[in-house]
Amino acid sequence: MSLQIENLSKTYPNGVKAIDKLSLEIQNGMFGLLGPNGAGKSSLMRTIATLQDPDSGTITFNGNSILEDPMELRKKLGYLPQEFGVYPKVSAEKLLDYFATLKGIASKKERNHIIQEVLEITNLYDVKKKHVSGYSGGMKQRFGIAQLLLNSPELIIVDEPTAGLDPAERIRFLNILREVGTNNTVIFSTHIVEDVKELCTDMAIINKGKVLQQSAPTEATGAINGKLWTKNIHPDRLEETKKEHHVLSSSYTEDNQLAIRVYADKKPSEEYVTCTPNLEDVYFNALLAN
Amino acid sequence: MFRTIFIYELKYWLKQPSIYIYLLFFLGVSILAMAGISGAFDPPSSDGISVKENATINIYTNINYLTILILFLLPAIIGNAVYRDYKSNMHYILYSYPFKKRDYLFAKFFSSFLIVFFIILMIGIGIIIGTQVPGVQEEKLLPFNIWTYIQIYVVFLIPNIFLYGAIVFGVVTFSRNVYAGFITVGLLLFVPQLIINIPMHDYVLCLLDPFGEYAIKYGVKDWTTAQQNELLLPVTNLVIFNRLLWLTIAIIIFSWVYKTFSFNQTGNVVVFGKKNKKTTLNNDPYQNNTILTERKTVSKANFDYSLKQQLKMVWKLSTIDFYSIIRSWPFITILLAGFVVVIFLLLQMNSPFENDILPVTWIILTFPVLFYSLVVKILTFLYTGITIHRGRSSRMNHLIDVNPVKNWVFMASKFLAIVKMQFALQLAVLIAGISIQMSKGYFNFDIKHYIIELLLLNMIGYIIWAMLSVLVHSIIKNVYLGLFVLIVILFGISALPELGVENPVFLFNETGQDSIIPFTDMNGYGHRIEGFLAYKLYWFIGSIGLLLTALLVWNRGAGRSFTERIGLLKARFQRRLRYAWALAFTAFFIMGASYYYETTVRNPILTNDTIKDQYSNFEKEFSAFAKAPQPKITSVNIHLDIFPESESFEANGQYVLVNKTNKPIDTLLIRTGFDELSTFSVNVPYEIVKSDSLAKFYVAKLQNTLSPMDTIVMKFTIQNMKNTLFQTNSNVGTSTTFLKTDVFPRLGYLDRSRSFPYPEDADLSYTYTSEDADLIDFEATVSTSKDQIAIATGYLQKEWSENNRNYYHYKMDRKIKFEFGFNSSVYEIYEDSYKGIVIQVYHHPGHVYNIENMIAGIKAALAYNTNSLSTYQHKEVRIIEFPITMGSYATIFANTIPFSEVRFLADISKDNFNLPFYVASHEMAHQWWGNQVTPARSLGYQMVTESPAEYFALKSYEHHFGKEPVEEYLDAYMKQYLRVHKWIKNEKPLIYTDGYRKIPYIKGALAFYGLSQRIGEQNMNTGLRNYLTKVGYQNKPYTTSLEMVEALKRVTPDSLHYVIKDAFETVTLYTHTITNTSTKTLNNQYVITMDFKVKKERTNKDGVKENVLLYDDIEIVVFGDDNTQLYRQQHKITQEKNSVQITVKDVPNEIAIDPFHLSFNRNVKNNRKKL
Repeated sequence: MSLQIENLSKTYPNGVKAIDKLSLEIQNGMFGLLGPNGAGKSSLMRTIATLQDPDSGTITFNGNSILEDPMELRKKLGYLPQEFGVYPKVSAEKLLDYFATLKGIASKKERNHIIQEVLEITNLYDVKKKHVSGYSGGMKQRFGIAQLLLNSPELIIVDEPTAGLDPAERIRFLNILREVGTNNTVIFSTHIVEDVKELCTDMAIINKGKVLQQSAPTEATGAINGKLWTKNIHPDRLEETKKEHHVLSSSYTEDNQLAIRVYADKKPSEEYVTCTPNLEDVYFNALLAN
Repeated sequence: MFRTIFIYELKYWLKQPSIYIYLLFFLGVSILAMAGISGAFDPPSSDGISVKENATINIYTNINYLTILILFLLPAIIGNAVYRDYKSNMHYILYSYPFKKRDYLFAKFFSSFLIVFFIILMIGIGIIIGTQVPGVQEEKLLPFNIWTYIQIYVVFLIPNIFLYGAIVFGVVTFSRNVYAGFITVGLLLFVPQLIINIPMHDYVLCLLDPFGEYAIKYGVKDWTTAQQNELLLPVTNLVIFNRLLWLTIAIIIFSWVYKTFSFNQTGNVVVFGKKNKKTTLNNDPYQNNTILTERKTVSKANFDYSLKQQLKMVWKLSTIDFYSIIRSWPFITILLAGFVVVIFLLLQMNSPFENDILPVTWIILTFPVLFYSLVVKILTFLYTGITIHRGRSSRMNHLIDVNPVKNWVFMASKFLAIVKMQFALQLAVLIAGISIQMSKGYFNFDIKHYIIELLLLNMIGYIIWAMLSVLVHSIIKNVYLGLFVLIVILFGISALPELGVENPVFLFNETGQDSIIPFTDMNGYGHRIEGFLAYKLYWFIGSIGLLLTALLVWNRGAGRSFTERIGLLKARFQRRLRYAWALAFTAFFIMGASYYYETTVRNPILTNDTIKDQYSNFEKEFSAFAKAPQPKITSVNIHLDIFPESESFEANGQYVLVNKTNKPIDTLLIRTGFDELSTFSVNVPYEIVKSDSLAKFYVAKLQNTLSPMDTIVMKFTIQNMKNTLFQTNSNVGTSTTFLKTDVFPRLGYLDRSRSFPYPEDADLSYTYTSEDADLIDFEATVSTSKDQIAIATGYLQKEWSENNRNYYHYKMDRKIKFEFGFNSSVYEIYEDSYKGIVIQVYHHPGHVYNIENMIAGIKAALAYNTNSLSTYQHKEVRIIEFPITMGSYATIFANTIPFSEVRFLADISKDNFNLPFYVASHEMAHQWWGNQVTPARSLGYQMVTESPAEYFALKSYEHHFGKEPVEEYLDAYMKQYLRVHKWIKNEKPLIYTDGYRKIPYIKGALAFYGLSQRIGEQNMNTGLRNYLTKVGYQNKPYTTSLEMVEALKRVTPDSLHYVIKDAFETVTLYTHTITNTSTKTLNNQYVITMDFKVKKERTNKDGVKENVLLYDDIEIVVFGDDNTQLYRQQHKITQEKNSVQITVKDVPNEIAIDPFHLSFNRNVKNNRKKL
């Protein structure tokens, strides 16, 4: 199973180039789409989810063009948008029945059975009679997962699902996502590097509608191993240092110094010490490199 | 801070394209409307329109009408000011900003109010431009007067909009729901409709009207034309109090909202009854077990994407949407409010007819239909939008749209949800209707009629509207704007005929009055239903095209720009959809074209304009013949075959014509039935020298002249013009037929103006009914279908069956006027007799409620009239029912009295005046007044026919039921007369009456009855009998009102001749005013002193009122308990101010001047005083 995106472009009427000749190949497993706000992640995901048409380019899933035959993809698709609401005053059970109908499950018995399963898997079974509009953020996101599981999707797209969740909710959510993602293609966008590190087997960093880098998270950190250096400097010297070196990030230390992380093939100077790269470094490096 | 927000808001509004649409729209509509009524699109007409189109009162009315549309914009603009912040969740941020709620609310309100002000300004500007466009007719307009507009805007319009704006702003801000504002506007529009139907004092009515329109109408009701043209609107106290009352209400609402408004984030959502419990669930079941459940996978279900399953899905999705509609509170509110009005209308249902009517099913269905259909349409417009955009407005659309469901399934489910809603609304009427029938003790429900009318005929139209709504709301994403557009389309279509577009082929889904097919128990819907269905099918197919178009622009997925949507439209316009689209519109255009061809080319439906044109053309060509002497018809013999199945008839017959003039006649002027195909021939050599095939007028030149007293025979054949799908060209119904003389050929010039000469100038050789006949011999053979009975004027000679049809031969044994009729229906016959005179009632089976009343009325009239006047000239009386669709009157053709269905269904249960009895007596009295006495063709002839018919009916009634109901009836007649008297500019005296507004009936009854009270019933009847004996059955010269008045004078003492002058010969009214009363007790007796004023005014020929000197007998009555008369005397009154002392033995309750209407008193309120 694979999703192939080639030369995809989309410019909004206000002139913003959301997707810019973007090409990607996504295989089975969890695929992380990392990028800053406004990088074009949501536009890309909406386009894959058949909600929006690109200006040019092709998307194929298992050999089928989804732009020409969106209905075929929709049968296999599970989509959780970045932000969504639900009909007010309707219980989870009823809403899921509504979605199960839309997904084509004709038999009432079968619908009930599957709804029970997705409620169990997302741990919402006990609150199935409650209105979804009254759910907490984490529960609502899990409801989003529940509805996308109804048709045993082969392609799952989740757009920034952890935004706005508290740490405990976030962990619970990622646990569920991990469970459902094992046998399928899951595209998972986020601007939180941690999410990708914990979950993904493959990832792409995109910005301004372009792919900056595509690799497995471990490969990516491996690739810059030995090229990362750190040093504590006085905050006033940050600008100056940035001019001289690739400063990926900086954080304050306890004594109000700035600990900076620098990417360089060789040790920039004596004061620098080497450090172990993490995914965040990969991310910043990719952004900075372009 | 106020300034900042205010300016920010203004800038926001001015960036909205919709604002410019509104501005242009109102400008355009106002220009068009004003130019239209100023005659820019009409050919010049010389109608002497009295009140100019741009007189202040007319401008006020027009602006008010257009303001109704603006009211619907208020929620979208003023309501939206605060609502916008909720919708975009901006309030979370805004409310944390450091401004005061005063600044926030006032800035929001006044900025949006300013925008609305700009829009209403467009109406005024549009109207001013509309009066100036080329082509307007100067004679319809006054010179431009800026004060007209300043007054309307400053005094009425701006305060009105402010008031409504404040209310809507308050409601929307409080409820955080823009539709609450919409409903509020709707309810405010209901108010005037509702209160006008509640009997209450005019003042209260004027105060309660939120628009202040009644107060204005009340202020101008007595204005003359000149005043209406010259004056600005009257700012009376009533107007001021009305404005103050509603301003107070607006301020109360606004300040309440102001007080309760707080910068919180949950809002004040009103949930019926209970406080809003919108709390977030915190009992996440996952919270305490970080370990996942056992389950890791979801089993794979069977998916069914077949067409059958998709159709099932349409049904299921529509049910879900349907339930969400009927549970939503805007729906419930509108429905309840609508229902209150409908039930109110139903409980009141007596307006169009004089009598209350039994709650038969068709009546129940007739009354609320116009109003309720508006409610259904508005709900359709609103909920189509809400339903289509339901996913988007609850932000669930992206979850929905990614599913493997085709667009058409979504669209069809939304459409079906609306249809289900409409169906439910119609069922509600059925239930309400039956409940009302039961509550009135009527159990003869016509369920079949309910179902056909409500669930078939009405539904078709509603479904077509739903289709259009789907398209509009698919194009326009803003529900409110879509709603507004649909309302404009609805009102726009009803205004199109005003602009000259009259053919229903252009009027979307509306056939004018025809959108309701008249139904009667006697005829059902007849064949009209087929034309109706064909017309609706035409729009239905067109609307399928609209639905397919909606599919092209259907919104799915993320928002798209206009160009993207166009691109998408092209992409979707493929294959099957393309063929279906083309097919639907091709069928639509073909049907439209054939409808147009059918109604304008092949069988033109005549518009008033074309009829006018034809007539003026006719006048030019033929007026030379206007005075050509003509022979008179002396004998009529007709053979008529009625074919109910095809709603048609065929007739042939012959007239005997005699030259009754003293000159030879060489030209015959023949006009045949306007709606019929006729042929004719004369038994002497002749030649048609000139004819007008449209006016059906022929000039026949006789080869040899017809000498005085010579006779010729004219033969003719008639058949009705072929019925088409859209037009029935005969009065033959599927189960009831009523044909009158208008289908037969007549002689003489066609004079449409029909103005009768004054009796002094009249040629007395013509009767008022027919110039071409005096009295005639009459004979007819009628045939009809097997199941029906056919009746003609005359006595039945023979009846037989032949060729599976029923035949009847009728013949009159004495000469009658040229007035006869033919009826055929599945009649049941009720028979009775009075002193050897057979009384028969031919009625629709089941219509038995009032037969006995009618027979009693006939008997009472026979008794009273034969006793006081002369013998009855026929051996029988036959009352024949005809359907309401052919009229609500009764008339008399010799021994037959056709009676409208309305009287058969009269409801006289709750002490109502027994109108079936009364009408029967009235028609019966025409046997003497009209048939024995036949006045000449001159003004005032109805004083000789209708006035005495009323008087004798009242007398018959009085002898049967007693004096009291007659007095009440006269009371009502007096009030009715005073209303008419105010209405007409130059009321003619009774002796010259032209019948306007039933003056000869109303005023005639009062005048005759009043005179009889003064000179006594005996004297009165002697006078009338002497007159009747003298002129009864006379030939020319015929009598006139003048001769009748002379006869009355002969039995009236000289001292009372002034009464005849006042009531009959002039228009003279008293004004009696009691200024003061006091009562003392003296020796166990009561001495009443009453000061009162008497004024007597006579309207002269120029319409000016002049005081008349008094030397009159005025009756003064003192009433005790239970309306007993303690004192009743005539007092000689010679001056304006008077004082009388009256002594009575019992406790007096009330004193009154002329309470029994011996003469005409303008002041029916201040002539009575409680003591």
